[in-house]
Amino acid sequence: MNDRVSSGALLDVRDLRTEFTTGGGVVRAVDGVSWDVRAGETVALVGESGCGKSVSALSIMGLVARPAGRVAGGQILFKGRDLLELPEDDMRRIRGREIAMVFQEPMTSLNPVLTVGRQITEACEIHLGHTEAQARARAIEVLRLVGIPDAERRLRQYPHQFSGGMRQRLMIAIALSCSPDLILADEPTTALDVTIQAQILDLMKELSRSFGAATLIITHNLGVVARYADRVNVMYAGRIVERGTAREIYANPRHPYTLGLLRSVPRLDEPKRERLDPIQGQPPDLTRLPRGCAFAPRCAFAIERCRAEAPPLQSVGGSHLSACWVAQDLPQRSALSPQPSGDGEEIPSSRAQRGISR
Amino acid sequence: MTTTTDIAIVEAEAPERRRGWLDVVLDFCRRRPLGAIGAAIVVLMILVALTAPMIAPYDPLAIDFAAMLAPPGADHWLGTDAYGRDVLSRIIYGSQTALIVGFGAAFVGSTAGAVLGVGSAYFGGRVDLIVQRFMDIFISFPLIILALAMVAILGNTLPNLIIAMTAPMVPRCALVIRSSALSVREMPYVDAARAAGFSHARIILRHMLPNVMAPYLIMLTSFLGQAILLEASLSFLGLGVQEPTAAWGLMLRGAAVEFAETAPWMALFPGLAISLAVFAFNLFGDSLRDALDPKLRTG
Amino acid sequence: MWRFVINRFLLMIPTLLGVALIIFLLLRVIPGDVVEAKFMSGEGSGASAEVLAAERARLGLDKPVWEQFAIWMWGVVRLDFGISMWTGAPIGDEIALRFALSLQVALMATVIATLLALPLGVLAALKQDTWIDYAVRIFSIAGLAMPSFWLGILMILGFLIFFRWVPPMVYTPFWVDPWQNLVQLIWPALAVGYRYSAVATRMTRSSMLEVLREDYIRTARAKGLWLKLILVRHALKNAMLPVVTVIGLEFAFLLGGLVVTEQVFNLNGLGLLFVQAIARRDYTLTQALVLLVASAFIVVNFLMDIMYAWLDPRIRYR
Repeated sequence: MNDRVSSGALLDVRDLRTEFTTGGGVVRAVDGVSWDVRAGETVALVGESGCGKSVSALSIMGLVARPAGRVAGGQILFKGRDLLELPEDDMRRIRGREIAMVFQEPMTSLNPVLTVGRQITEACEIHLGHTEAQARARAIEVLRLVGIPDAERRLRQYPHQFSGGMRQRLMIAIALSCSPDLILADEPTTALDVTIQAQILDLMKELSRSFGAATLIITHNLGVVARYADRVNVMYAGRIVERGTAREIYANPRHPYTLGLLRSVPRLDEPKRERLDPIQGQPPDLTRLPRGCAFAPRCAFAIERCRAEAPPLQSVGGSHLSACWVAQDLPQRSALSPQPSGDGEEIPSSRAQRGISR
Repeated sequence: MTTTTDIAIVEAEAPERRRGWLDVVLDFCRRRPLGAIGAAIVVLMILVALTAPMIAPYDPLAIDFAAMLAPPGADHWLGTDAYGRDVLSRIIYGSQTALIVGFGAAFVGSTAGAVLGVGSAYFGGRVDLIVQRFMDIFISFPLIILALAMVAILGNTLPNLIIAMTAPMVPRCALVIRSSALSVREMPYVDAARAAGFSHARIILRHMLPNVMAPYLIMLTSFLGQAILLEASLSFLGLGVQEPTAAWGLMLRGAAVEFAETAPWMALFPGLAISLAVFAFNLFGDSLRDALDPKLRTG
Repeated sequence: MWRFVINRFLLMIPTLLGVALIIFLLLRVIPGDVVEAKFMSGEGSGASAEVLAAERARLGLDKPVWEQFAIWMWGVVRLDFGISMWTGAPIGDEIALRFALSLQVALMATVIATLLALPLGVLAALKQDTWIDYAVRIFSIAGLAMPSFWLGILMILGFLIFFRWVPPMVYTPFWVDPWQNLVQLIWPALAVGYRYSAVATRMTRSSMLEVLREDYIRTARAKGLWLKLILVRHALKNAMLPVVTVIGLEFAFLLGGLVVTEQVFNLNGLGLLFVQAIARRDYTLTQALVLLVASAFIVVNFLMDIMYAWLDPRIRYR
């Protein structure tokens, strides 16, 4: 893993709170969350749908759907400036130029009636003042980078002429076109076939490395996390429940929710297990969160205190944090399911360097 | 696909509490004030129509040559027409005509459209093709000709008028209902019902119809205003309700234009009544559509 | 694309044929015919049965119904609509001038409606649930509620009372005196255009709202584009499809449906001709008019489909 020397956080999210007003009441989608991304590093935000991870990314971009949603508090420090305090036009200049986003749905995230060339070049024209010819040259360059052959011809085509995986490459090309410092990738591979997933993730990893861009990868898939992230934040019901390096999270999860996530992931590099163990129960209703730990109703390890008092996020060893009263009493992962002797480096290597076409 | 790696992807959703109809009404009023205003006017109009004999100051048909073209005043609040008939009384009684024709045509039109739409979607294939062709033909047929022909063939009575007015509604409604029904048609439970050997009628009535209720209600309410407007136009042309019946469109006909300069109240108030009624129905219908199915476009 | 165009083109034929058949039969079912209408009214009311029969024979009304239909259809195919059974003049001459008038009013109303509807609809969508949105919605719902002919009456009333002026009542073709022509036709166009714009405004608003919720708009915002660019480049083109449809259909509807407004403004357009033709049982003229209005509608529909395909590459490449 590339543990770089910390040069101060590129993005520092502090106590972020984002709320939505719905018919059923106020939903605290992100409820006092803090985390950071250092320059060049890949950080993962992991959790089930509706846990607030996508909303976190949209909050950073200033794209939370109004008027239902709003950022209710906290700070988002990017290169030292609080994005929440910026006037809209300054924020607009940052979007696409310094922070770019890759969305979950490549099928619907591209405009069906514009050529892909138009959709790639427009950001460069606006942010970098490129002329049409310059922007076009740049578009061809990024298309090649993301592995789309025959770029000149492809630029004149429309999104529906591309497959799902190709469209996600287009989204990445758009994100990269202005060489941003930070890429927010919201479930970039969820809508794609498994074989394509690995290609896209490898591509993103390689490109962000060569561009020196930091990446925030948002996913529900811990398999993705293990392979691509340096550090991991696990979110549940709008809060961070565990944080650590990918190695720590994978080898020594200290939150029952993380444990559950790990046990429900099928692995290609392991002998077939009898069955997966999904987490019991449903994610909680965010308008009616329990008083104590939000995960307690689904937790096999819950004690009396869990239902009475929400646990704070605290260290369970170095930089490894967990919000759980029984963090130290949780079983080791190997005790839960037979694993090949864990040295922590459990990256599914069989498909690691496959795919990326150059 | 990645379904195996997905972990219980269930959106957090507030469990629906059981609500009484009063709660529903109050909630509608709070969230859609414009719609509530529209509904209030509609209710008021219905009350006026029901109590017309009690609240109308004059007999709407009583001719009084002594009071011809009297301007609005203490005796006749909204003035009188060329026969000395009280304009206010005629407007009050006219609401009966408007409501009967409006509700009648809207109900018949949208129901017939719904039946055709659901049937067309359910049976599919050749039936669907033929029904669609017929709908195309009727949609492109000039409305006024249909109305003229119907009235000429069937005679100039209120039920015939209502039937003539449904002509433009049926194909439009059928089109919308059909597309809703098509998606229901694809539901597994319809296949299951067929496999279980239920009759067509039972499947359509028990499974398909309940699922197209929302677009049906939306079309019905949007037709209400249109029907009142259409009735006014037809009556204005002399093709609709006949004298001496009190009807708003009829009040605007002939003398109202002739005496426009000397007796503008004759043209002003019936037109206001039409506009207010249609306005109210549209306000209510719009809000209902937003509440029931925000994605449905009805123009 | 061409296959699509040809397919859609061929689909127009059965529809037109259906319209022709229905109007043909409808007219034959209506009690009375042109001969009766001619001779039973006014001075010639005492005509003998022989005179009536001779007149029917002259007009070909004594032939079997299917033969009459065949003769008519054969004429239509050759674009020969025959002569008016009432006046004896060729149908083309009867319709030409009145069609020009109706077409001009319809075109002017379309321009007015479009100029009003697009900005208002987009504005209302952008400012959803603010007072601007409410104002636009009330303005457009009111437009739907007010009968155009009543609005026309109010206009004339207003001119009379406040300016002691009425719009010219005698039609002047545009090529004779453009100013006089416009002064006369702008008012009916406005009266009709208001309702028309209301329909288009509502469609613009709802379609725009829908498009603004699309994922690709979020992508465009994430690129840091200006709001104006997002609207013009990313939203409008997608949102315009249903709006253009409504405008086109409403235009086709106006061509034949102006009957009442024409009456108010004393315009001698297609609408009035319709009412006259059917009252006189002038079969040939009525049939030609219905076919004309219906084909306008069907052709506009066809053009809309083609435009959809042209604007939306997904359809074009299917």
